[in-house]
Amino acid sequence: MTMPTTTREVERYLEEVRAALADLPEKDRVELLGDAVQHLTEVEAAEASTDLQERLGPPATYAAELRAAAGLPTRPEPVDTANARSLRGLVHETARGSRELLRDLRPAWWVARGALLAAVPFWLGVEADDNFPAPQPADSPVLGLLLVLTGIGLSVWLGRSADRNFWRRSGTATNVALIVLLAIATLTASPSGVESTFSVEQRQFLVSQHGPVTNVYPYDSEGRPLEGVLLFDQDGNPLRVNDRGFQAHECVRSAAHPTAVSGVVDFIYPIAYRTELDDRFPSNDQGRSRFEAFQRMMRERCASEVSRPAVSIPVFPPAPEPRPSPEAQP
Amino acid sequence: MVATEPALDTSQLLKGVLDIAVLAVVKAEDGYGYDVVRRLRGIGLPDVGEASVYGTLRRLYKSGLLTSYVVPSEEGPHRKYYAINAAGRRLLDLGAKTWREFADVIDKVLADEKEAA
Repeated sequence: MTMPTTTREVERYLEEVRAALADLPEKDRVELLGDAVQHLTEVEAAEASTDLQERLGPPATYAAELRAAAGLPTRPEPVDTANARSLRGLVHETARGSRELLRDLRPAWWVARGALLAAVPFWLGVEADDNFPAPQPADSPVLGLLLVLTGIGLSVWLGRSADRNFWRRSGTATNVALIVLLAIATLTASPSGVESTFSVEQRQFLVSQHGPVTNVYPYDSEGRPLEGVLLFDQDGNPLRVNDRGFQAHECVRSAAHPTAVSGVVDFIYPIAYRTELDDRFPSNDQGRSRFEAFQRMMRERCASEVSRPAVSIPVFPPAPEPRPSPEAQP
Repeated sequence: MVATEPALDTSQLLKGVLDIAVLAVVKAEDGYGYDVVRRLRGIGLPDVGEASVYGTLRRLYKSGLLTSYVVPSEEGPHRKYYAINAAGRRLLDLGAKTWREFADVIDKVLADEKEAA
C-alpha cells in the first residue's frame, strides 16, 4: 500500500527548492530537502487545499529561510551585500556597471556581428548542417574562414570609425585581439572541439522512450543479473543517468557511487541508491516503540523501492554443438 | 488614546529566542515540525516562519539537543517527531535564565522611563 504522498504542485515546488540548495554539499542538501518534503507533506495533510507559493512564499525564499535556520551558509550571491548599502547607491552602481560592461562588450559585438553577417546566409541554405558553425562555400572551409574574417574585419572597422576616441579611452585593444583569436580558434577547431563548446555545463542525462532513466539493470543472456557494469556510448563517453537524489514514498535517496583511483565513478550500473534514514535512537520508551515500528515499515518500503524491477529475459536457442548445424544462426 | 509608534519588530526578536521557544515547546511534548509550528502560533507567535521552525529543529537535532524518531501513519504522511534530551534541557534552562535576566533589565528600563515621565 505504497501511495505517492507528493502531488505535482509539491513536487514542482520542491524541485525549485532543490535548485536553490544546489550549492550545498550533498549531505546537507539531502537533509534539508528531507525536511522540506516532510514539511510540505505535513502541510498538505493538514490543510485541504493550499497554494504553496502563497503560503510559504517563493521556493527560493523558503529555501533561504530553511538553510538560515538550520545554520547553513546562505547561497553565495553578490546581491546579498545589498543590505549594507543604500538601495539608491546600489541602483546607481548597477547602472554604471552595466554601462561599463556594455561599452567593454562592444568589440565583442562587432566581432560577432561580422562573423554572423558572413555565416548566417549559409545557415539558411539547404545544406545548413555542412555550413555550421563555419560556412563552407564550394566545400572549402578555408574560403569560409576567410569570409568570416573579412566580415569581422569590416564590422570592427565600422565600429571603430563610429567611435574614434574609443582606443584612447578604454584601452581595450588587447581584448579585441583576444576575442578575434578566440573566434578563429573556435571556427578552426575540430568538429568535436566545436561540439564541446556548445555543450559546456549542459549535462544531459540518459533518456529512454519511457522518460528519464534513473538506473540501469544489466543482465547476461541467461538472465543472471550483473553488477558493476561500466557503460559507454559509441564515442567512448560514459553513459550517465539522472542520479540526483530523489524522494518517493518518503524515502529520500541519494546515489552511492564507488570511488576509483581516478575519482568517483558515476557510470557503474546498477547504481546503488542509499536511503537516508534517521537512525538515531529516541530517548524515551514511547518514542522507542514508535521508532521501531517505523524502522520496520520503512525498511520494507524503502528497500523494495530500489530492488531490481521484474523483467522478462528473452530465451535464446541452445548454444550450437561443436559441429556446426545448418539451423543454428549466430 | 496614545498614538502608536511603529511596533517593535517581533520577527527580529524572534530570531534570538526561537531556539529556546522551540526547545520549550518540544519539552512540553514531543512534536513533529508542523505540530511545533502550530503550537508556537497557538501560544501567541503568529509570525513564526514555517521553514524557520523546520530549520531550527534540524539544527538543534544536529547539535545533539534533540532526538528524533518517525511515527508511521496509515492515512497521512509519516511524522518525524523530535524529543528533547538532557543536553537540550540544559541549554533550555540556561537560555531561560538568560532570557529572564534580559527581560528584567528591559522591564526595569521601561519602568524607570515611565516614572521619569
